[in-house]
Amino acid sequence: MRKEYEMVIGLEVHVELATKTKIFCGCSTAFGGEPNTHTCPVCTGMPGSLPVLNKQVVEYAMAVGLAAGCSITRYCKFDRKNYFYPDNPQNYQISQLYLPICRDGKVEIETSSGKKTVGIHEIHMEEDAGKLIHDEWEDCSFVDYNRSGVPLIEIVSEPDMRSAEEVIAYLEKLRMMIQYLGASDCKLNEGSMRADVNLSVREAGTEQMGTRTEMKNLNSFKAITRAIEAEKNRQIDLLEEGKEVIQETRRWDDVKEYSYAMRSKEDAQDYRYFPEPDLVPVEISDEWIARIKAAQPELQPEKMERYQREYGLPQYDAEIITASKHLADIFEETAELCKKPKKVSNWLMGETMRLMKEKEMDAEELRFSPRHLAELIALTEDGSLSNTVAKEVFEKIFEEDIEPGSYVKEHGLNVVNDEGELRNAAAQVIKSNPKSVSDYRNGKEKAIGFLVGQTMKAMKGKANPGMVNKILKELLSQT
Amino acid sequence: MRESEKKQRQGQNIISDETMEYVEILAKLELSSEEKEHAKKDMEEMLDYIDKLNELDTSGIEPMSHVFPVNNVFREDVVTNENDRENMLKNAPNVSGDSYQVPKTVG
Repeated sequence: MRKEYEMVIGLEVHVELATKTKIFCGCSTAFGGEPNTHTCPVCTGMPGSLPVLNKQVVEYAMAVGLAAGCSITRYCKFDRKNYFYPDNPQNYQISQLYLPICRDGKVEIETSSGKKTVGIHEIHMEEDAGKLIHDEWEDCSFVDYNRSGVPLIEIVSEPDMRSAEEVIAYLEKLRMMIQYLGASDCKLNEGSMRADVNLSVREAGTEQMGTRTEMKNLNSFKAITRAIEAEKNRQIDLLEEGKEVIQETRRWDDVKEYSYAMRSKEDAQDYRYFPEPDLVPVEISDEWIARIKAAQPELQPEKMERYQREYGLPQYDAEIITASKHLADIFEETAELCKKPKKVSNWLMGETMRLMKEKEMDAEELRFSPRHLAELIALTEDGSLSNTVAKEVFEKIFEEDIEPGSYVKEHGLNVVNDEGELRNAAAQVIKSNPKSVSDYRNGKEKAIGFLVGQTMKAMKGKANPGMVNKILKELLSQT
Repeated sequence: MRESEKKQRQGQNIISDETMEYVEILAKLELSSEEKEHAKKDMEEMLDYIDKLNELDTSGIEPMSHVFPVNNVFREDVVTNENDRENMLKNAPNVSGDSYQVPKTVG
């Protein structure tokens, strides 16, 4: 029988900071620019160019560290990590090895197996590399240095996680925290949040750590989950066959659901770090830390508490809505505009969640304007839209961010309150459904439901059901 | 000849063939045997020179990370650089369209 194994997982999470400029030069960090349009001698590693540290990078790193309960290193500095790769034009990356800006933090997570604390070993500041594009036909690659020098923080966890579920919970918590701080948009698919997974297995109940591997190229939570399961099985199979796990970096291919070793022996992992001579140290005072703490925005736990207190939302709704800073922003703006927070919450918890699930979307991808949802709520509140039609219109808002007022007018979707028109429709329905009519008249009161439904259908949902009910009863009581 | 050369030197540092090979890999250099011997000698001399510093008693002295007694030199987060692609690309030996062209590198 196969032995029982457990996984030991630690994460290295890279987060691109939301600064306007790069970490060491005044080039823009905007995503998606034409190749090499955001570059200068500093971020392309030209000889003689000198880096100057972006103050906002230090402040974002401090903000994230403080939110994760880290201690801030009062005297920190940068180091050079030396390696050759074409996406790294200087032949070294400026990073922090000896005195990282934050240390010893923790993040609380909750999974199906309960609450747990994941330790943060350190957070350091560094620069991102450029992007390589490989030519399919020619034997060459092209380099775009727009991303070179974009500021990153690397958040290194302790090896405290034991399952893919815990890893995802940890990443979601980190992402939520950083988005609330406004320090990054944390988009996995655009690479502004990237996770490398360090994983080893050991027999359950033993203390000794197994040999770990590091897995890269994980671009979604799903890919991370699949890669963890596959790597766990690969390592267990090796151990069961009496083979050894080799400490190496592996690249995950999410299409093939398979990982392969990335580096050969020729690429020794010896980065020969040394203190960066082109940058002076950073000294962080109590006063500076106090200033960052004071400027900390409302984080998720406080926001969730306030939503219950201020808007009277149930805890469950408040928790779901605040789980994404973006969704919470939509909620607050819409509630501010229409003054009906409970209705807003209902639209978000109901239709929005349903459509997101149907389209496999993330809350971060929601693109509709709070103004349009607020208008839709106003239209349903004053009775000009029936609930059925409102849902259809919302789907249009959700998909194309249409302006509901003019859309309703253009498509003639207003509730018909014209009694004459409703009477005609109801009379027609009574005429063509003699069976239900006689059922009703013979005391089967429920039969009216069907007739109301038919009338609503004839009115294409644009009628007030209360009024239809009243008219039908009136007509049916006449002989 | 190598042995006699070593004996002539005052220093103690010896760069082995394995170290030399390792440094070549790290530096991505291929040296001829003549160049290798030359580089070894240079490196040995450099290490001997650094050993001189070890003769000083530095206990109780904070490691220095920068030669100037200056810290906290920052830039404000304001975009100052415009698109200068044309000039930037002039620095490269090989260019293809909007990008730098390099030998195929995958990994």
